[in-house]
Amino acid sequence: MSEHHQSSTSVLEKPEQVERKVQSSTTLFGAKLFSCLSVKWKTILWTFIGIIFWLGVFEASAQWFMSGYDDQKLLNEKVKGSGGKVALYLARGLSVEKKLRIGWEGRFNKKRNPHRAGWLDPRLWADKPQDGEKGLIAAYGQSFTFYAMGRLKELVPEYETRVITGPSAPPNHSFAAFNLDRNLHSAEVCVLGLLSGTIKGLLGMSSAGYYWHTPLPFTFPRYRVVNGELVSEMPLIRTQESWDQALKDPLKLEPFLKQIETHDNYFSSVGYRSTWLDSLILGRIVQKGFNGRKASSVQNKFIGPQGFKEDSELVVILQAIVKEFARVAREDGRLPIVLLFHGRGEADHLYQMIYKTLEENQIPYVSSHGICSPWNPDVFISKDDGHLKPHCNKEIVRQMLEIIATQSDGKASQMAKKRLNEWE
Amino acid sequence: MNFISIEFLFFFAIVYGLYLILNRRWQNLMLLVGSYVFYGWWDWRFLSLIALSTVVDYFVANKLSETEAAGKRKKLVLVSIVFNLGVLALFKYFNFFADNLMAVFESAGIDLGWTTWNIILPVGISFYTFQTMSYTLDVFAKRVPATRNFLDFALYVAFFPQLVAGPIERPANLLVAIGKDRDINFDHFARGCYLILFGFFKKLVIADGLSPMVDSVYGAQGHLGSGDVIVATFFFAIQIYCDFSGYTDIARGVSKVMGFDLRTNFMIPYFSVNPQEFWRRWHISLSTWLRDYLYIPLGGNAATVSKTNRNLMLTMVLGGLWHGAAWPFVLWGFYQGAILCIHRGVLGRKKGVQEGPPQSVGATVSFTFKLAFFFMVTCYGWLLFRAQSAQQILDFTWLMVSDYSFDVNVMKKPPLAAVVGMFILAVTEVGHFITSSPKFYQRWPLPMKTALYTAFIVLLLMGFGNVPASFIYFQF
Repeated sequence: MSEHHQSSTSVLEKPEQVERKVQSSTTLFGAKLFSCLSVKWKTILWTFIGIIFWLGVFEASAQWFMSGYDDQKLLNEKVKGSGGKVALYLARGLSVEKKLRIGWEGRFNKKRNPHRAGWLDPRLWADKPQDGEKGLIAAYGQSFTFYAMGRLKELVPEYETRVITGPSAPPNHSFAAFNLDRNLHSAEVCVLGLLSGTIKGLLGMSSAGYYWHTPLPFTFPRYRVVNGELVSEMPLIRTQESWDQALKDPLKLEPFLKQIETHDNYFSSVGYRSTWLDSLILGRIVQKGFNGRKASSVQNKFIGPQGFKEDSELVVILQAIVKEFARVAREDGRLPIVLLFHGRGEADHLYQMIYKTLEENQIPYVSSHGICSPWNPDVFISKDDGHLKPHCNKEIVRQMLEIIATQSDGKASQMAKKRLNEWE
Repeated sequence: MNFISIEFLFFFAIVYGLYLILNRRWQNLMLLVGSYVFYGWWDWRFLSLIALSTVVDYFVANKLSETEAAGKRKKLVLVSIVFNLGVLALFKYFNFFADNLMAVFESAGIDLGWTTWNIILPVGISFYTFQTMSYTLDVFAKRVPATRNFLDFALYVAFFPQLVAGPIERPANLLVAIGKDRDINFDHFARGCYLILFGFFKKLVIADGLSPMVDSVYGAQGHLGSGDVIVATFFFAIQIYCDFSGYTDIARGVSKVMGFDLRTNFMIPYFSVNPQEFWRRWHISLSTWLRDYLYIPLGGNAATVSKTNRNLMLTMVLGGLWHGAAWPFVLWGFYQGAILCIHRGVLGRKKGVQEGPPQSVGATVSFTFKLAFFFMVTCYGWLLFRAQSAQQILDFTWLMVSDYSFDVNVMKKPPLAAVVGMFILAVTEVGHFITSSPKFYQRWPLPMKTALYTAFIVLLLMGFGNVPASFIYFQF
């Protein structure tokens, strides 16, 4: 009777009452399960829940904070204020691929677009001088080389200069540019500019890997020394157009990313390709950490507090590149000159690493460390602009002219002698 | 093998997994094999040194326990001392003394015609040598009995968590623990995990974050501003503390989850207001070792003031030399000895200095002033310690006393994670100081505790990208 009464009562219950009962029994089950746990396990569980909760709070507040900022603006424009700096810090945690996309799309129509710079595409060099009445000097390097050559043009306006550079371009970029440009001009002198801080790029195929915080898309070959011979792996994407197409077509981008993964030592398995981590602030922090750690672990293999490690792959490649540059230039009847630039606080490690190779192979060179000490902050333009001041470039140019005057016998040499005489 | 490596993660997972299923005898054997693998990861050739040291001290101690003849006992302990210090002298100090001797003769115009050997310094040699020596010295002094279990003793010498950078253990603690069943309880496990997390936080976020800033100044060749030197030295004080105490925390944490209680090596040292207190809080396992086996046998402070000062100077100079065969370390030891003597001279023999948090506003103000002053004194000591040459010490000191522009020319800004990390560290240190307990956080309500753990985790993620640097004390 009692059982019957109970079941009839159940049947008469309203749906919401049934639901509440189910809920309470579930809660009861949860509570029972929880009560079964020992105090230790409860503590571990609560600690775990607490950490997840606080991570959630951190993520939510950071997302709210970042909602006031646009990643595209943060990465492409100058940031002001401490809030902006924190936002930029988090924006830089985006994957390299994502930052490259944002950089390309955000500046697509802008006149000064660093994402359009540095491409090893000979079509872009068509309007550069191919000959000079009183001498043509071709130079390959980065901004330091660009400024030095600019100073040369100022001091010796009679010269024509053919300058091919990339933003913070490494020696493999400059050497590849030299090779691609070899038959496109009649310069008497070829200059290869090496900058201490960008030597690391020798182990990469694009500066995006080691300048992961502000990546640029231009690419360059990855050289290796095999049985004493310099062999190269050419990048699958070499022009702005193919980069633009690859960003729109994953089928074109994928083989390139695979190539980077295989041949670029700076490729980080977490933080290079764009994944779901980009949408989380914690994910960005993780990517930032992995990219930074990868870059520094690669660098630790070839440089330490005492300078470059002599037996490292990077040093062997640079020595081979410099020798090959001089050999090819001489084969073409040109005078090779190597410029060694030392960035702020980077000691004379580059000079120490390469001067023996240069002297043994009688390659003329000018090193900035003896002209303007890398330790002296007064020889650099400002704290934000680490380029050498004009008086340093003037001395570099003077020493370069001395080399041209004594070691070349063409038009450029006569001009150099004349100018040096005037200065005396 | 380095704690901060993927290899260690795998290594410890295997070791701990086996540890949990084995009984004590097999645990000890497995830990010994693991410890040799851990050390051999750097350079397996130097395992023979540890093994030799183990064999010599084991037999010396056993022979000591078998004889009561004072003369024979003295000879036996001398064998151990000569052997251990001989190994240390050969591998660590030979080139230093040979170079300096040659320099002295060359300055007198005499060419000895010597060439120094290229001797590689085995990692952590000073730590395990002092640890084995403490065993024979304790057996000699009858403070502990000699163990008959060779396996236990071998593990005492090579126990991997503290093998390369301490804490320098004593047989009364570690050897006894090795000989007993270990209790792995929840409190041990929880505290161990906290110590590991805290250690990684200090090392990866703060020490590695500040290291490039310090290196850029101490590796610079001129054009420094006084601001560079002051800030870099201040950062070095934080870096070396986080680096060394971070290692100790990881070592203690790893040991704790296995049921071992290693000695406390640091007790908020920058809350010291005088050198005596500092040495009771900084690298405690070394300072107590030097006190027990050098300072007290020399006579300690029981005799005249001049003898006490002599003992202090000798102990601290040798303590400095323990860190490395270089003049800056000797100078640092001399400096520490000098400030201890000065402090003793000023204070006399009165023991009126109260340690722990001040109780009134006036006392707080006075304490803060003393704290800041003594921190500056300590920082100057760190300048001596970090300098690459005696010339650099002179240059930096001159710059600090002559250049009031406080320009920062060379040093870059520290990373965000390190800055926030220093703030969190300050909070934990103040918490420790106020409560006089390193476990102060355990009394916090759970939400606060988990917020602290989360802060460590987020900062570890942020600091993961810092340039990884080797632990400073590995070179000693």
